[in-house]
Amino acid sequence: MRYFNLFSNILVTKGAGRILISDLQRNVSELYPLELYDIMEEFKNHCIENVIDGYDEESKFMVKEYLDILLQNEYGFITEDHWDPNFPGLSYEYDEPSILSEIFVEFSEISILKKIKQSVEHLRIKHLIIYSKKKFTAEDFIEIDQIFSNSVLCGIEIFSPFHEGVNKLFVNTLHKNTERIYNIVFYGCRKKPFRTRDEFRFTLYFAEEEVKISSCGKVDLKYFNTNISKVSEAVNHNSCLHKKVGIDISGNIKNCPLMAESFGNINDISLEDAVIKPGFRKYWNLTKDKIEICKDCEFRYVCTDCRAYTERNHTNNEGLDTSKPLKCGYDPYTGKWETWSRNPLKQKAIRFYEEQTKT
Amino acid sequence: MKENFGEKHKLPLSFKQMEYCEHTGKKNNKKIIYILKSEKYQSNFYVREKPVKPLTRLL
Repeated sequence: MRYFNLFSNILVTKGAGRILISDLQRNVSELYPLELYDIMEEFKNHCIENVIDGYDEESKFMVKEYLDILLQNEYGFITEDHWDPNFPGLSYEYDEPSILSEIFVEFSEISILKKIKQSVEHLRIKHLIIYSKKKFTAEDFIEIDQIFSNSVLCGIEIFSPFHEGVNKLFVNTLHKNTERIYNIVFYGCRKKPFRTRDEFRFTLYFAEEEVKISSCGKVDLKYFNTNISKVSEAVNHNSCLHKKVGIDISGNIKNCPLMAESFGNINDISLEDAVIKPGFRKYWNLTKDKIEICKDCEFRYVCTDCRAYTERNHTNNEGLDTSKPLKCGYDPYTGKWETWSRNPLKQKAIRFYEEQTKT
Repeated sequence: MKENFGEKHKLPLSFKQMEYCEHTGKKNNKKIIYILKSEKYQSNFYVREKPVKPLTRLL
């Protein structure tokens, strides 16, 4: 009698039409047909021979093929006489020591960053993301980095408009004079000023499009990640808003700068006070398992949610918006990706957000 | 059999199989660890980290 044992680092997420097998050690995910899920479940309770015998003659060959796939991809291994008890399931418990882990700032003026510096220390915030409409000079970048020198921040990401002053010398100056910046995006760049290679201490990206802050919230394969920290956070919490704080261009403290609800203005209250306000953490535990349509999606633990732009058609008993993210074009029931903005069912919500942007 | 290139004693066979590793000399930014200072954590070896997930999805 032979038994199939699944390695502990393999997470299987069942969707409506397919399954996603995530290897949390190699950090890769692969899609497979739904029927493989049933076979894997049977392997948990029966020996391989019995599972194969349970199928008709034609299907037996398929089961063996599936078993080969599981072995080839090293999702598991075979033992004789019994399952190996040394591979219990992994705990997906998630714990993050910081009170907040990230802050997303819609840049208005540098004084806001100076104002939040102490709060960043107290709340042990790890990442700062700045979106700016202002064209940053090299001095601006260096000043932002220096405001947080010796701080608890372990990474800064900046989106700034491209301008004529951005050239190799400009970027080299940033390379030599900044520490915490790990990613810079210059948007609205019609022609790259030079060929970028892995030569700077940060990643550099020249985007052709005019990126607006309202462009955020896109759901796309390129934004999916397979790693145990991300996946275990998504299993237990909201994958976008958990431990996140945002400051919009007017200084309003929010869960995300793109959301409507404000918990006070940074000119009046501190981030520490905003975080303890009732309602600030209400979305933190809204997992994808509680969001309509997403709960049937095989990508639900590798995807990052968006509560700022949703289809606006479901709320739960606590009044939380449990609708599918607006900018997701994936249908887990058909397994097809379509352009979300052309979906007729989303037009009402799209118009709502367009109106909101105008006001 | 291992060839003897004139050594007085036979050299021990330490590798059953050796593979040539190509050194391209290309700098791989991903493998570089950048170290920061953090006053609160009283550390000179505070590692700069990229987040485990995309914090914004603007592009």
